Amino acid sequence: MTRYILSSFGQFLLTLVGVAILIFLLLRVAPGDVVEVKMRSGGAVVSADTIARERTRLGLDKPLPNQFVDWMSGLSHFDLGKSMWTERPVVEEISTRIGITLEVAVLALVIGLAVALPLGIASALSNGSWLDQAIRVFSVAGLSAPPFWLGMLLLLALLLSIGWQPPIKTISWSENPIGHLSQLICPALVVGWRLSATIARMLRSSLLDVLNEDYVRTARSKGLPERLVIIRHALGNALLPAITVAGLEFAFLLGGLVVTEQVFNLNGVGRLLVQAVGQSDFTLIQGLVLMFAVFFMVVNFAVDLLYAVLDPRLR
Amino acid sequence: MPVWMPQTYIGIQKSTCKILFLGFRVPEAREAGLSLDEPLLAIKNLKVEFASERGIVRALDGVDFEIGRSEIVAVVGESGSGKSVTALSLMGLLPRTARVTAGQAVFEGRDLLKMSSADLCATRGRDIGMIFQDPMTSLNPTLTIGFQIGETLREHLGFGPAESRARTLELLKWVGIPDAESRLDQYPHQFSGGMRQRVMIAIGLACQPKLLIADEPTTALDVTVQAQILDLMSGLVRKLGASLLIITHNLGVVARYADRVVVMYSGRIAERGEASAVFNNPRHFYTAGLLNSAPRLDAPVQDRLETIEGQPPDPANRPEGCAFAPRCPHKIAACTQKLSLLPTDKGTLSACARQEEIAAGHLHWGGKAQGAEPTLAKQDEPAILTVDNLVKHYMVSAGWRSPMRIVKAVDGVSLSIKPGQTIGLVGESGCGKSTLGRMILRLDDPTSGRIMIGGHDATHAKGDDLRQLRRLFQVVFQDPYASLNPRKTIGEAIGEPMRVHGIAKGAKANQRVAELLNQVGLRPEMADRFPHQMSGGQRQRIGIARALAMQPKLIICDEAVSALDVSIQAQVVNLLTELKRSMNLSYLFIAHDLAVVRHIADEVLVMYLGRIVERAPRDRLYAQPQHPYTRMLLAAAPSPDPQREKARSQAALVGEPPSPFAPPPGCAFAPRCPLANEECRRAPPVLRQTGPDHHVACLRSEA
Repeated sequence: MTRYILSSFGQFLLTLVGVAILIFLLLRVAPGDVVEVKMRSGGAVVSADTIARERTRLGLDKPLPNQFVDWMSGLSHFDLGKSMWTERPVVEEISTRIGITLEVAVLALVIGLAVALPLGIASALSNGSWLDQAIRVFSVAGLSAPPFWLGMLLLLALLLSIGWQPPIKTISWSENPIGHLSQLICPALVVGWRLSATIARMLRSSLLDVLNEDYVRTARSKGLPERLVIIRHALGNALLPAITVAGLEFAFLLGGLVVTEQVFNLNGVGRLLVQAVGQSDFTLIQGLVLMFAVFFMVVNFAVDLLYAVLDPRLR
Repeated sequence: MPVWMPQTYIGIQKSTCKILFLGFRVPEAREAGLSLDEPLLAIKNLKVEFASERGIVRALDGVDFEIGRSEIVAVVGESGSGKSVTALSLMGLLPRTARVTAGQAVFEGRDLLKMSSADLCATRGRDIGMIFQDPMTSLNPTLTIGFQIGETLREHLGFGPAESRARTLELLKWVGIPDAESRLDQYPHQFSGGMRQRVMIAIGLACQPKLLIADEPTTALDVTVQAQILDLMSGLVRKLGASLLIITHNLGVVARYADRVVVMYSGRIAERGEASAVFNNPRHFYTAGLLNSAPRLDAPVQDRLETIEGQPPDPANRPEGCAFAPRCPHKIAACTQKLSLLPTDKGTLSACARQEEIAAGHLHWGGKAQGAEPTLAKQDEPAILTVDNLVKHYMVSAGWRSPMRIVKAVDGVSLSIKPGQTIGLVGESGCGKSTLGRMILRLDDPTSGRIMIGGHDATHAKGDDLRQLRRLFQVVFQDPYASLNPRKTIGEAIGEPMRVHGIAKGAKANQRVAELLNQVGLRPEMADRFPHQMSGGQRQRIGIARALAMQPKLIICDEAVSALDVSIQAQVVNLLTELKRSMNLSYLFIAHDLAVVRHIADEVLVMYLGRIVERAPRDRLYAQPQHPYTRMLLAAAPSPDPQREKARSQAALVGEPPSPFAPPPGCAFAPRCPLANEECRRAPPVLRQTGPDHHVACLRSEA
């Protein structure tokens, strides 16, 4: 076990360095310059001298290898540098925005699982029947409808039916817990539907496979009622692939909420990323991408550990 | 009086359970007032249909038989005969696509086929236990052994956790699992196949059922383990006074254990009755053919094995009359009419229209010339293949927690094969015989050692050299289903090697494919078909045709006939023998079945945990086996002869092959060996010559 964790951690670091190099190079190759954007965006006339001075101040005039070494040495003690636009530390920029994104992601995962488990089980058990078909339609709809469109439909429906619209300003948990949750529930529903569709489809097919396994037949031959056969003998094994999918989807959510946050006017990291890209804020983009990578790896690792808990063969 | 009173029933059972278990008292159903003369289970006119893409397939077409109390009944038949479907329909475990269309299965006065699902659940596991074929997949991998055994006790007998744990422990000791206390909380993957099947027996017998159904219980196990498991199972069943229904394709198993036998063919019963009567005086040509086509250790070696020509009918187009008629050498007009089971002179029942003529001695099965005992290959030519001290070590990790370990899959094997010679390589699963074959084919790289093919060093040949060498040696694999690409036609599959090696193309290749198909006994027009349209035996012939396409000098047959039914197996063995003679081929015939190897090999090597333990010319090895392991293998192989089998003592069969992860020190066989002493445990013995061409790796083979 220790060996496994150590080797995972080693891979983790290697991947992280790889991601860091890649994102650094990509940003330098891509067109756009933060100083140009910042100073000349409004059509302002700024002398080349001022721009050069600003570039020097931000360290953008140094040769690329030097810039990279600077960034990496900062990274080594968890300093992601300062935003080139707001001058605030990247860590601070991200940490003030990550909360809302995480909340939506977790809430969506909870909703997704709560919907997917019964639907997946029901459709596997009623394989081929009208119920299975109905669940398939629901799932395929969730997968194919774009979240922003669903989001707008949902908002429109709420506005027209009960006259509710999401608050313009973010309400914090401490000032009004219900108001806080109410602004999360819509995006979580939209994202959770999609999530539930993926998980339910996966669970359905893996449960169908497991129900054909010899040990399920053994369980039936013992005289267990069908309910116990499914809960005790089939479900545990069928959940494994569904957990992988849920983990991957969840990890993806953090960076993938960009559009949803825009639609629901949430000030999360998704919007921060859009903003940073628009402003060519190199340090902020690098920080965000690294964070997504870390999050992705952590979730994958957690899924691996969960596997070991559920499947004794992997211990 | 109504026998079925679940509440009181369970009550009685619970209070008397402990006494019952230790004292093996006769099950109490007899005390409940049921007549002992009535059969425990009576199956009447059972018909089962499957919905398939080709329409309705009638898997069972009117099956009748009975199982008496404390009786062992064997249902024997080849794949597709409907024997497993019979067992599954009794337990209500048929797949969704299947439907029971007619018939009854009366178990203690109640029809199993019409029971409510609640009643069926109360009967399964409680009154009828079941053991399945593959112990590797029949246990839930995520639950402990203790939980899976105790589950039955908790469900049916209302045991609490402590009580069920104590009983489970008792059960584990009962089925011969050593160190039961610590194994209770282990998971199935920590058990060997044989031990898992013991666990299955514990589950099946946990509630002391009145009937145990065992569906091919030892087919997936090694020969030496197989006999132990069957002895354990039949012994326990006898002690409990329960009945046993064994489903098997192995005639030796039937001969050894069954009181009565039911022979099935294509969804119907061909013959049934007392086992010794059916085996000694078969009154159906199918039974006779089956008994004759099984290769035996106790009969002289024949040049050709007796076979049943052709293959079983497609159950979707079964002939109205005798289903066996198309393959029967003695069919007459009467065989096309519907036949029923009629009593024979031996007190058995047979569905053969000509059973009276068989009884009168006018007709015999086969009678085909079997030829003289085959001559052994000449010994003076240079070897086509020489393998010198070949070693394959794998680095493996058994899990997150365990360190990397070296597994010595093949540990210093030498052999040589001369043109026209067949070497039989025998051993149980995990002994390294397939790894050796793969190394010779250069599909795996040896860790050390040398492979010489036709005078060239092939150990490290690469690229074009390797491709040239591969023309000389080909392979036929075990699984005829998995070793053919389902998207390629038969013709493409056979022609591919010729294309790859640039030997023939276009019309020339097609003509060659037709020739090859002819050579292996298939019609040339089959070249356009796909593998799924062929039967198992036909696919194996295709595998052989593909191997022959390159006109190789050597064919490695890796368990090439073990997946086939007895009658088909004999056909393929005969084909291999013919090809060997006409093309002067050499074979390395890898198998676990000593009887089959005896019919084809000139020299036999016995392998145990990566090493050759005995090597001798065929007749010498079977007549005077010297290594205790070879003797054990020969003793374990059952033969279809009830008298012989029932007289046989099983005392010599102990233990299981050791795990290659933790091989014992010294001689790997020492822990199971009746002759082993301290010296054997010190260092692995080397092969030494004990007779003409006879080598044994044992210090005490003379003891």
